Amino acid sequence: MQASGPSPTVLIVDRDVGFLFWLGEVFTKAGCRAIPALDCGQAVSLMRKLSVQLAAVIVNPELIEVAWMIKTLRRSNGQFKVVTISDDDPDVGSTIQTHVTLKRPRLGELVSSEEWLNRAQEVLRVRNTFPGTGAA
Amino acid sequence: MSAVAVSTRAVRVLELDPYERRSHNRYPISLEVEYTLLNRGHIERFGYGRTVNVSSNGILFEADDALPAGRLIQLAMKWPFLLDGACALKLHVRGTIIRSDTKKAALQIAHHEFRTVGVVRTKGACSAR
Repeated sequence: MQASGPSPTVLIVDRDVGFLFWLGEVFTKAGCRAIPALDCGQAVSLMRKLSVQLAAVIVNPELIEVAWMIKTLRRSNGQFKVVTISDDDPDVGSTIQTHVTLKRPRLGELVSSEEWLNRAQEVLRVRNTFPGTGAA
Repeated sequence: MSAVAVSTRAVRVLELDPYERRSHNRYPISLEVEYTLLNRGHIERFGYGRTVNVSSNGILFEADDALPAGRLIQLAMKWPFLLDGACALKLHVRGTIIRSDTKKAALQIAHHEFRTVGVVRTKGACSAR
């Protein structure tokens, strides 16, 4: 069950506008309301304007101010899952607690919306706690 | 609320072509766009089109008219879902047409930003930027 009811809201933060629109489409097909932002400052600014409970924040951990954004959004938009977008670098993203990681398609990789729809549904099924701690 | 028409079949996100060695993934996104063609800083004409694919640094789109390569252009793509059920969001892109034919034009992105556009219902929920 999602924190924000039958139509969970996900915030997607990434510099790659193509991937942003792609993920927005995938999560919408998965039954979510998707909100995009190109950077963390814009994400916080946008979410301040919207009175919405977030189910998940999907973020590129290489962006600056990711930790600040998550802390700020937790105060204003409640508890949510943190999903990081991986670029094959295992060290990136280690500074923030992550519920699940989505691997960005490699250059030339075959992608399908069905496969990504499955990934989105997996993200939505993940419990909103951090492994081993039971804490949100 | 409109839906984005993304192909349900598997697609390769990168295709090399003779014009350009791409170094970014291109995602098949089909969305309506409005464009403004500029000529030496002045607006030459407006038009409409539809995106074919979008990457982090470029957009390939079909336009209602042929567009000259080398020109500056502004493009607005509507995020296909209302925010908070109340306001729309548009991606505004500025860049250069790096290649074009009678049907399609490829834009190299120089600058892009999301802007909220108006309030559909609640007061002050999402003011125009």
